Amino acid sequence: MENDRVLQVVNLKKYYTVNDGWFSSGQRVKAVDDVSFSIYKGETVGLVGESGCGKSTTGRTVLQLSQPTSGKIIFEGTDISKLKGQELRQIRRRIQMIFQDPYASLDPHKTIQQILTEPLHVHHLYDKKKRIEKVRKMLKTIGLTDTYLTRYPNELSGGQRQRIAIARAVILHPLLIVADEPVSALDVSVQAQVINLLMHLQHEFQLTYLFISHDLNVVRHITDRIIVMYLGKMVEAAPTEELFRDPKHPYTRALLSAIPIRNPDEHTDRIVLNGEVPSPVYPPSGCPFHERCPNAMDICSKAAPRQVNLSEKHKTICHLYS
Amino acid sequence: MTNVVRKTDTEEKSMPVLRRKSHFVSFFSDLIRSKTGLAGFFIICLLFVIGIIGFLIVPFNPMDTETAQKLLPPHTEGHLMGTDQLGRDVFSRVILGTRVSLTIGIVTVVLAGVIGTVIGVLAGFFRGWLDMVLMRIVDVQLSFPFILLVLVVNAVLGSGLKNIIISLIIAGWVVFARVVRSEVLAIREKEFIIACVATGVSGWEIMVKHILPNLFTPIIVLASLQVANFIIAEASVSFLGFGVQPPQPAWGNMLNEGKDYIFNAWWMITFPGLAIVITALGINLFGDWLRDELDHDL
Repeated sequence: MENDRVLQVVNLKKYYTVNDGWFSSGQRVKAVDDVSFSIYKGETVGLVGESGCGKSTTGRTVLQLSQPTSGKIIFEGTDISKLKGQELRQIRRRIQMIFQDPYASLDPHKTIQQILTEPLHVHHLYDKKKRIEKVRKMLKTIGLTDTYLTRYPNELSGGQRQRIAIARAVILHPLLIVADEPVSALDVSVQAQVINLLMHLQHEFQLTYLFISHDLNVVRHITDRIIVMYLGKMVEAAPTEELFRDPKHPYTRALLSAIPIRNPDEHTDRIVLNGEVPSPVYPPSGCPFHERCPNAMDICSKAAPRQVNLSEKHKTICHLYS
Repeated sequence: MTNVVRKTDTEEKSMPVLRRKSHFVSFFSDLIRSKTGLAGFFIICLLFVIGIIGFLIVPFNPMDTETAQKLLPPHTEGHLMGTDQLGRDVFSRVILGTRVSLTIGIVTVVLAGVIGTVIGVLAGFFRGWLDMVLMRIVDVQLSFPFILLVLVVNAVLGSGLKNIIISLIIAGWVVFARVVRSEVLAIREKEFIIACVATGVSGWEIMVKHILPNLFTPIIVLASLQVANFIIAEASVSFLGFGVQPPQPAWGNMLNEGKDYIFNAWWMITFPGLAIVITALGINLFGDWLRDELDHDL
């Protein structure tokens, strides 16, 4: 098991300083606050939560697109949070990213061939002829024809663009791919195709995914394990099946009860939360969820809960279980 | 596997990709549809033709003085636009002034544009102290009136075509630097740049291969509008007695000479003035159209 560990995130913190005026000393936003998790080879881990809960920041920090305030990001045994320059760029070959908006993530002035050749060029892989051969093969894998090579992104549909973005990430044969809401900007009909493509590629290239999403139906379909985040903190982590069958944290329960159901006659116990997500600049004391929690106790506003291991794989951070 | 491929096929059928028209063809078909853009384009073409072959079509030598024929009104003795106080043909002088104005406009815009772009990209991309230093220089320079600065530099360097070009570049690069820097600040936050970083592209390559091509549109638009500004600035400086010196004809110094005779020889000041107005108008019309055209292309 230990040998299969691809990524280990240890006590990751990412704070931003906001300057909201000339005289105020900067306020700190705790975008990601003390998050730890591991990802093992070949699995798909979902990172879910409302917008603003820090899931995208976590993803970007894992890729070193932003520097963590503190904590370790151990990728294949080396702490990459300290790497710089050439060493860091070497690691980038092994971790790739797929972005949410395929309309923004492709350079509008480059042809598809240029976009897909660039990663190979940057890492000095193969010669010119072999690269184009590689790109053609990749296009075929993602279900597009050679005629797209000379096209520009603005001639492609959203789904086609996202396939190209996926191909760009996969062409280097990375170990880990961080997919930041890869389908939420797409039509529902195209979403399914892209999800299927991702699963197919995972099988073909033995990829490991960190799948960031707010769409629980998508997450349930594609992931093996799920990490739930709320206001920069991890609240629950469990295998997908178990999390949907038996959610422990009150926030997870509320989140799951909010999934729309197809049958209008079907009865559900919808847990409706009061209020809004508190500002991360002024997080509540104790447990960040206590103000909205239906099961809140006295202790919740006073002390921050610790991680409770309910089983080997099911963890939650809640006073109800300690 | 088969599932994936089959679904893709249906997507491709239902979503045909438009055949790409060549950029060149679509550019001109759009231009023909815009009246103002087309007018501007024609004026610019005409100016270029005059600038290049002007010396072949002038009826008189523009330097030839003939005091017997001084201050003739238009349409007398073959002088289409009359003659000036030294008996020189105004028409010939306006025609030859075109080359001076166009040369100054284009050379200064290209050089000021290149300098301003390089500085703007460096400041916007690297930020930090480099950005601080460069932008404070720009701020200081922008706080001087443009014409005053050109005059001061010109006074230091001395007059003449080469020196007026140098002083216009020194005064004019800041506009490019400012605009380019703010564009770079916007572009470097775009997801495709972040995607490049994630791929492992080096900073230098991101700057040259990804940021620079995306700056092309704003720079072209700004440059097209700045050409007119520089031509007017040259005329102003020449009018004030700096810049291009007589007897070499330039629209600005023709205005300068004509101002003393404004009440008895209106043609001396009107025709070079009209030439400046038409040039600036043509370039601005085309520049405006170009901005709209390139804007919605992306």
